[in-house]
Amino acid sequence: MKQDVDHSAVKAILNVLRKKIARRTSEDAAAFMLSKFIEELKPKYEFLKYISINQSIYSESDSIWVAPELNQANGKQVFSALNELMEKSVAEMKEKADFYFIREFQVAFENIDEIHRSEIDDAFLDEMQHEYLVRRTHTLSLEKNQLLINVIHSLLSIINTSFSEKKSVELMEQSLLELLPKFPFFHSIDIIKNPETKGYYNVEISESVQKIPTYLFADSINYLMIKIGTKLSFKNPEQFRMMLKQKLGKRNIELLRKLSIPIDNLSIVVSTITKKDIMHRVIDSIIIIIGNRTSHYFAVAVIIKLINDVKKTHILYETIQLQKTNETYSLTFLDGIESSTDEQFRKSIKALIEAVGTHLGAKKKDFIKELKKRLGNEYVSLLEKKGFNFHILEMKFN
Amino acid sequence: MKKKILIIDDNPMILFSVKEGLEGKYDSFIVEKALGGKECFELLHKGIIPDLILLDIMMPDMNGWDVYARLQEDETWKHIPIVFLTAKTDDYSKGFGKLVCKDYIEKPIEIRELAQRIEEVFEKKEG
Repeated sequence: MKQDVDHSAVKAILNVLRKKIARRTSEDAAAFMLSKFIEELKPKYEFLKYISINQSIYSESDSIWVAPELNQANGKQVFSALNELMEKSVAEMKEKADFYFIREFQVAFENIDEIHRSEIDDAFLDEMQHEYLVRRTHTLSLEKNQLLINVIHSLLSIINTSFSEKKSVELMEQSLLELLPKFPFFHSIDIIKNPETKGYYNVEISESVQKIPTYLFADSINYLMIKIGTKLSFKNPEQFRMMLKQKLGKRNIELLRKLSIPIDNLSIVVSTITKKDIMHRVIDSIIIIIGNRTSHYFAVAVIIKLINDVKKTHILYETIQLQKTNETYSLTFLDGIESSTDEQFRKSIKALIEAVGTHLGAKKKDFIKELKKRLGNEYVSLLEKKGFNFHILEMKFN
Repeated sequence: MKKKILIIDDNPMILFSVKEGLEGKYDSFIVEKALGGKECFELLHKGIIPDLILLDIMMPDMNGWDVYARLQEDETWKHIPIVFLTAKTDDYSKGFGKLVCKDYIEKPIEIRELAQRIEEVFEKKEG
């Protein structure tokens, strides 16, 4: 990595820091603070003698002076000194160095004018920002709220690649609910639809999360990521991990690693549920629903008739043989169901469900609700992941 | 040619009134009676194969749902048109019953209307 120092780049960085401190204090206080810290650090970093903060002149161009001799200093040492300077500033500002201070500082880094940016080695800057953030988690208490919000947003955005926004939020809320006994502070998470931006949801978390012990907080994030990853039933868990890391971004990943969350090795449970299993579950559920209101014997007879009917338009049912044996029945699946496309599979199941609901009148919607309940969340999710839309079916039946 | 109707019901009064009503007022029907599922299958085993079955649902020995299911297991009987004639009027019973029957008739019903509904089933079948 290139470790050359450019004094004008250092001046630009110091100016950003000065401005951000001044916004929260005053120009005087910012100049005083930086000047004081540079004096304190001089014994450790001799080259800081090439930097001077003018406390009496407020004009931006003259308030910070950096001599070209600084270019001769060791890059790593300069980087380290700047980090300590920032760390001291954050510590001095206490609660005034809030999350937005960091955000503004990051934005300001990116907005340093093109001339100076071109003079700053990108890797150097990246490392500096990254190091700063990591150190900050120690200097300040970790911004748990914001990290959890970022994780939830990232997960929602992954869920949204398979489901509608409404369904994505439902799945997230369901997952949070399931983890509530283990992490009661999840009750303070609200996912609220933003009325101004169609389809965008705000995640709000009570400040009390800040007081949760860090080990418990880390555990909760780990469990939430695993739960969502498992629910989404990726055939390859690595795909989920890659997507998650991409959505989280470098900064959040580092924070998660700092919390010892195994972001690179989440224990996602791979779904082994096949199309055959789903079809079996759908047929079993329908038989139970019909059987509970008529007789089990009748329900099996009805399903045999309906499968024979829908077979005429959905050849997938050619691969299914339902046989009555005394009071029970057996399902045999021939080759072909697993190799069917998701569209074929989805349409075949939809045809069967619609056939059952044909004459149910006002009870059609109840039937769909009961069917979802019988199928269970995991199977409903798998079906929806294959494009099956229970909501539209309910609307159609309404 | 007269159509043979088999009515299955656990209420003898209904069996009597339907037989009297259909045979007495209409030349086109012959009505066989079965006082429940068991009697129904005795008749069928004797070779009395009807053109249509009027089937009650709530019966003590074998309910109408099970009678239907058992009929489907026999290649000769499975094609006999079924008309449910029942006092079960809830949406689920009607909804699931209509999936397999030719008509779902709620009790009580006048003989004239019953005859008309039966004729409609035959017309659809033949048409």
